[in-house]
Amino acid sequence: MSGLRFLTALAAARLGKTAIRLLGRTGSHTPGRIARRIDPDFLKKLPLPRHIVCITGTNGKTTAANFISDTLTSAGIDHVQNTYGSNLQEGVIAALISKANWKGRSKVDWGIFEVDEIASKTIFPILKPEILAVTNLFRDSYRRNAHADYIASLLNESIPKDALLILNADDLISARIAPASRRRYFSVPPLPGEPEERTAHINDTKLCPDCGVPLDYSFQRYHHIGRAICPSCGLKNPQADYLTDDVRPTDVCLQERVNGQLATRMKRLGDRITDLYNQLTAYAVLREMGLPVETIKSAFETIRVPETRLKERRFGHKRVIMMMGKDQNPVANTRTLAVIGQMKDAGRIAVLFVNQVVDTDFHTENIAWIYDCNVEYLNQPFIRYVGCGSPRWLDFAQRFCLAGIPEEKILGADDEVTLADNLDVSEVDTVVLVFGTKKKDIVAAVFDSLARRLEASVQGQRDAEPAP
Amino acid sequence: MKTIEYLYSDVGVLYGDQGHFLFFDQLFAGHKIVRTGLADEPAFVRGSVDLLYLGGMTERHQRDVITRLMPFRDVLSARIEAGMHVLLTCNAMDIVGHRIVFPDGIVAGLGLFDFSVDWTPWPRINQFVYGMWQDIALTGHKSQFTKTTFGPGMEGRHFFSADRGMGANPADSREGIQYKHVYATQCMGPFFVINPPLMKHILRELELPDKLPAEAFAEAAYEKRAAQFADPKTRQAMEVV
Repeated sequence: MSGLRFLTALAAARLGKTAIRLLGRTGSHTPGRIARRIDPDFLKKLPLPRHIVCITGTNGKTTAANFISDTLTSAGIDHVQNTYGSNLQEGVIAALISKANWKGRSKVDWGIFEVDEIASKTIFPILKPEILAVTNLFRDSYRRNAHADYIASLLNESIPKDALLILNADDLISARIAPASRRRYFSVPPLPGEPEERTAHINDTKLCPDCGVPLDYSFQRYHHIGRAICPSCGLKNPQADYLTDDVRPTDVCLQERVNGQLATRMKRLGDRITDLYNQLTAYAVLREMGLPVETIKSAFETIRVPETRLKERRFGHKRVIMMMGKDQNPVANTRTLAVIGQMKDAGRIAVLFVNQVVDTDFHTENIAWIYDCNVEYLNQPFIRYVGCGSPRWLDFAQRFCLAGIPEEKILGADDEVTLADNLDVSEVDTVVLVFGTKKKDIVAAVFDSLARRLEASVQGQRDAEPAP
Repeated sequence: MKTIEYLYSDVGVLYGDQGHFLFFDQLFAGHKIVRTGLADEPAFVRGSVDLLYLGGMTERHQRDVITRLMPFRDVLSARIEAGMHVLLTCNAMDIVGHRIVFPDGIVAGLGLFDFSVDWTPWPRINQFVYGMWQDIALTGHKSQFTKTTFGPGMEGRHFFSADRGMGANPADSREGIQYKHVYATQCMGPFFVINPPLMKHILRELELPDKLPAEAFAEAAYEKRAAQFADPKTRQAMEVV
């Protein structure tokens, strides 16, 4: 009976997948949802690839997983991956089905799965990953994830004891999970002249997690990421097995100290520090999977940072940029605002928050997170406007005001489209849309609309200039 | 000159409580503000403090805070009886009850108020909260793993009655503590920032001008939120994680 239920669920999920494709929809988790509705234990029964690699953590897991998958594709290694953020059990199922025969048996040897931290408690015991990378642990959604300590405790309970862990040495929260498990560490040492960011509101390891004494940070990159030591008990960041060196604008030297020392210069995947972490995570995982360095290096040449995270369109001296801020995630938003706050050469900037998710249709969401987010980074002379398009925009306006942003710079509207429509594009050179994981269609429409208006503005200025 | 103490500000800053620091720094500019770390002796022990604030923290830090505060329990009790303003948000309120029951054991609280708290890893309760205190509408949010049980000693000492959302527990709409000048709620985040009429009331109790930072936006946001939360058509999202 259970076999029949499984096969029925498998057939229904496949049918659902075909229907979604024919309708031109994405719905990357829908086949998994159908399968689980028919057979709640579907994933437990589904044959798995021989080797499973999982990537979890608060930030960067999608990008790191995509880097790994793209490298495997480039190397001709067929594998299954839950593409672009469908990181719950349904997404894993949908991915596995896509590379399985009619009995559900996997046609590939490798499975690369990005796994949501909360979902890890049900997914890891089933998938039993051979390699598990944890990119970092930060505060995320208060409603869903509570706090980083809580997520660490979930991981401690769910990580299979045989898994090889790839951990962030610069993060004293995730570096300490599952202490009995085998582990490798990665680190991005301070870059020459790299400024520290000790102003972030959130630092979840101000105090030693063992003895409660304030930690001494010799280098604080942002939040709790950096190098620290406890003056009382001596706790400190672990030594790294994989690390970056000689970071240049377009390339980076990746070092490993696993079996002897190896250093290889390769293309840099993105220009942000977070991109370095994602690239290094992917590199460490790929090396532990047994891929030769030259294969990885060659594959990295072809990889681009996914446009789902960063998108830009230029018109003369004007441009519109989409930057991922994630929904109700104070750290991801702070990282994005820190970048915007450094864009001194982008002319007059308007920053529009279009990443506000709402609780069903009732707009009752908790806005506590915006007080942990460093909105203060936007209080810059070159930032002309700061706005929010959401039914809760007045709460944001209060927060912007408390951050010292002058009232005349604050914009707001009940929705994203009206917010963008109300912006006078002739008064700005750069519009930054801080977007999240939801409302992609609306954000895309806002982006296109702003692009058209910026283009028209530039054209209008050109037309108004006297002929030479 | 008032003395404002941010108690254990290095750990009591979990869910948007940073907003209280930002807000109070501006609200009490010109007054003495003391930030007390977990390793420090609280300022209210050494001398007079006019307003003490403690925000939400991890469960591990709840245990640490109780350990640190327990030697000063009687001083704190005396200060409360003498009229010190004490503002507690989120699970900072839990520590002044009798006990917190965790899956791995019971942690005795300061026992200043007659209630106990049960912590379970599931479900996480996410709700908006609306209720009246005196003639002031209060709005807040809860995201928590806990349910609170009030004892008979909480009679007449709860803060407000939650007309919308959960109070102490799903069967008890009584929310928080209001005793003398103690204002405590398990609502998380910048509760005193987003309820300007309440903060103005507290300022008047402190005999300070009731002018707030970002007041125009604060009041407009509050009015909109309060009307929306009070509206029976606005339903809870029913999100359980």
